[in-house]
Amino acid sequence: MKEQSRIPTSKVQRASRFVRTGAKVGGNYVKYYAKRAVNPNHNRESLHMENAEDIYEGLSELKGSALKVLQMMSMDKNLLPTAYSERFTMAQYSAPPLSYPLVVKTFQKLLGKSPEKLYDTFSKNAKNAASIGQVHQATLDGKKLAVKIQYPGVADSVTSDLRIVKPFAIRLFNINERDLDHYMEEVESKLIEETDYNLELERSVDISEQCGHIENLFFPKYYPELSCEKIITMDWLDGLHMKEFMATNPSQEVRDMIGQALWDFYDFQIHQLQQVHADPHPGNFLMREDGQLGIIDFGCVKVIPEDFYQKYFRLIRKDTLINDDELDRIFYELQFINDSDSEKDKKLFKGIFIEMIELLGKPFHHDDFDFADDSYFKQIFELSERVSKTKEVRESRTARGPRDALHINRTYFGLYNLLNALQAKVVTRKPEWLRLEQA
Amino acid sequence: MENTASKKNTKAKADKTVKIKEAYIDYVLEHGKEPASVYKFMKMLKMKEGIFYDYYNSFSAIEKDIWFEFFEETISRITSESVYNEYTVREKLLAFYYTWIEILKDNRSFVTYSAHKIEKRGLAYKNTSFLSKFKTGFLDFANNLLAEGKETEEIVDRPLLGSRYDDGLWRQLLFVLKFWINDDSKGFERTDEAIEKAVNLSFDLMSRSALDAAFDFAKFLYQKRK
Repeated sequence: MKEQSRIPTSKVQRASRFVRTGAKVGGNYVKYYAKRAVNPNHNRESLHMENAEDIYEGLSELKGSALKVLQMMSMDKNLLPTAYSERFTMAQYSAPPLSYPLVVKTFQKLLGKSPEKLYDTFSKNAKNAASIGQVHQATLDGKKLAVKIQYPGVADSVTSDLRIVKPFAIRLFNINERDLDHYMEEVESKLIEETDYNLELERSVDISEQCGHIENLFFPKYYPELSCEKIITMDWLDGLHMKEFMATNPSQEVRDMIGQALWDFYDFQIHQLQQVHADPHPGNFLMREDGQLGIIDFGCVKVIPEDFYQKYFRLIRKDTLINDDELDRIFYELQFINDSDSEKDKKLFKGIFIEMIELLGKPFHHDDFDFADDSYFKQIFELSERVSKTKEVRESRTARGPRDALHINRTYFGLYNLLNALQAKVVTRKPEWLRLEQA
Repeated sequence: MENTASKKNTKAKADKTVKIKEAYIDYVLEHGKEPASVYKFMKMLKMKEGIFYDYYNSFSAIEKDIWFEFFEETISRITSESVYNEYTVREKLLAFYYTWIEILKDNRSFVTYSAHKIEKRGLAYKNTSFLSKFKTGFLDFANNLLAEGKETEEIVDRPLLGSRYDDGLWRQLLFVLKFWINDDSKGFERTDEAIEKAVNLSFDLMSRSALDAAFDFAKFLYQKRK
């Protein structure tokens, strides 16, 4: 490799590096299928062993939509210990970048002109990888822009990827097919939405306008005339991603400011807009030393149905947990427990859910909450570890909980993790009706 | 005077070539096969059979010519883009494919008709004679790219194998062609993907890789043993 550094075009190296990543992923697929071919019971047996780390390792190498389903299901069923699911949440599509000639072709086909003609400057190489595309930097009239371009064939591959994962998921999660479909539909519809950049643009503009009043938040401006179903042009935002930002040692005050902005952003979306940026991935947030938080990428937006909203958030009210009859009713309505469960199962699952709700609802039960408190996260970790090792949970073949809960759970899970990573203390604002009845 | 006359002549000649070519394409698309004879074909055009032979000696010569034009058109389009000169060899080949496929798209029916003759037997492609003129042009282009790539070290020259690279690229082109003909995805997106992946693979194979290191190592061990 050293010899190559003499070549004037650094792109050559970059290209070969990307291909190497591709080869690695490909190799893992091969390895994984080979293992299965040699021993068809491989997955199931090792899953039933408590430390099925190999499988989890292998799983984390699966890319694309297949991964996303597994990731979400495992979080929802609390099947994977938190440490693993956390690794999953970081997973991204790792397609090799589009070559510049293909970028040019995409522009010509969809916007009728090559990028050189549309912008004053346009970077030939991608600056960042987005989840299903790549980001180029451009300038126009002295403004710095980010141009996101989608990989070809992503929309097509969603459905086929999911079909590949289905038999695998049935075995891995020991779940029946009908219940699996219920997850799959939700995930598939969201993934397909994510590939529609026109929709994303519309939602980005909409949500960023409505959330514009929240303190310490900033959003990019979007340019519909330079966007289409596979291309989005927006302002280039300056700021650091979580990891780099934390490396600059920001003060507690600044971290709290950002954490508060983050909490307020989600509070407003969930309780006021009732639609939410359902992908609290660290890559979607840019932080600045003056305590400002920039928000990009509205690919995954979940609209929360009113009916579900009422039931779901009733659970968070402290008094609900004391009232056994009401609790039973909500659990039934949300399908946490079913008529097909035996009395023993009902009791077991109720116990688990109450414990989970109590723990996850904790930030709501106080006026402010210190997310830097690692012991709280340790409790969550231990609980999910324990649940995932419970025989009855592992062997239960029904999916529990409404499909809408998938994205809401994921959102809160992501939000808590972000706040923990920020080590921030926030005032946990919540709607009046949640607050009053706690007293 | 003489000059204008000869210009007129060339123009008239070009007109007739175009006319014959278009009539031919029209005929095969309408009938799904080539005309029964040159005589019948020219009669349909209300021209003498002899005129045909001033331009072509057979129907297959027309087909060769049409394919060669696709090639020429591709080259002239990619080289007219100013960014082309900044491209690496890998990107130049990609640009060639994307533009070529765009041109083929405008003639998809004819391309499908013409290319269905290609048969794949094992690793070899048969019945590609209608592409002979196109192939000469493409190999020229490919060899220029390869020479450039070897100069920038994007491609390594290997004993024996190094002179067969162009052959590999030709095979790749036939693969892309076949793939596109069978592609039923929206906007032929799958073909775009196939092109990216195929070109990346071939360039990785042609660049310095683990293969060379392994070969080098094996050679070293072998020599040590002696």
